Amino acid sequence: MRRILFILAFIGIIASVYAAFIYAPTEPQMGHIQRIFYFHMGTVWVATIAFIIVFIASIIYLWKGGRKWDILAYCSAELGVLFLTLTIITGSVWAKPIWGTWWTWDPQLTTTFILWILYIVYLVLRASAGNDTKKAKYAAVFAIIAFIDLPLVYISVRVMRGISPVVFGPGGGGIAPEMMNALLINMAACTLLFIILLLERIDLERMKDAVAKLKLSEN
Amino acid sequence: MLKGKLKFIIAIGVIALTVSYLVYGGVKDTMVYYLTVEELMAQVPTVYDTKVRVSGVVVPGTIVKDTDGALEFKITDGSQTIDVAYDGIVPDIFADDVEAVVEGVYAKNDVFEADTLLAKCPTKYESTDSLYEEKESTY
Repeated sequence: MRRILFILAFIGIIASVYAAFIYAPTEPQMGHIQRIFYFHMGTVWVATIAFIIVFIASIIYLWKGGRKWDILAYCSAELGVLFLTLTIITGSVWAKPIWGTWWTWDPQLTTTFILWILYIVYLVLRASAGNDTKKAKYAAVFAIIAFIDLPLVYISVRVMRGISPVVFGPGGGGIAPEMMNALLINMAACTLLFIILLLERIDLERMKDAVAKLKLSEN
Repeated sequence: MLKGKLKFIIAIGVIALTVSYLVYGGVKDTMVYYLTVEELMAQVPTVYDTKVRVSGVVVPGTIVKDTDGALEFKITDGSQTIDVAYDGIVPDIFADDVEAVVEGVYAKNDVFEADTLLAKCPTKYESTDSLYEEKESTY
């Protein structure tokens, strides 16, 4: 099962690179730099899913308890931060030639920056809690509160003045059909990669637990 | 144990405060990310010499580039127009009809002295194929 996922993700990533760099047409106004868009969207899509998982897993953890939900939330948050970091980097590289700056405090960028900080804080909180379940629950409360910012990232760009483009949904300009195909391939590949990384990361966390148990039983 | 708990609560408190400060600061500054030309003009003369961000569409044919690289152009919101003077790095897509965002001060001589020039990227990503089709049809 895991092996099939690996193979699918491998093919997916090669396909997404091909789709973004060769298959997708060149945007006439922005040129080749626009191709970053596919990776920018792919990573932010994964970050969004990851934070939704953190939110749901944290609620279940507080509600029903169970170390597996705690593990799921923590591992997913870690990947969420990783992918959001990639989103911010790709966005920055894109913005420099197009907007003329690496960064500006536009509503969407500001809310995204806050989102990034919030989940880094969550990671620090959860990591410092160790195997103290009470502190782990505090961290889960924090993760649930932090989630409030996620919809703001998407809403702010639509209701507030800014420089970030609204491409999709009402008021958005839309993209050429080939670009949409390239984007979907990229999002699918990123999702597969995320699932694999998440499963591996969860395994790692379980192994840590097993080692801790073994050490305890030896003493 | 109590000490540890107290430390933990203080840590959360500090973090929560820092985050709320960041949110507040961020929202306060970006509640209105930029002014329109009309809003800027409505604030004259109090707006003189205060740092503001203004957005408008570059009026076609008004971009003048000096020999030393300094740039002059006009931006409009459809009804009102202001002159902008800028010297610095120009975004790749800056051209006629592009929505520009300028940061700087509106000087008393009614020229907006920008120290940052940003261009809004298009929200519609087209294929180059359609351009070729248009070109072909004009032949």
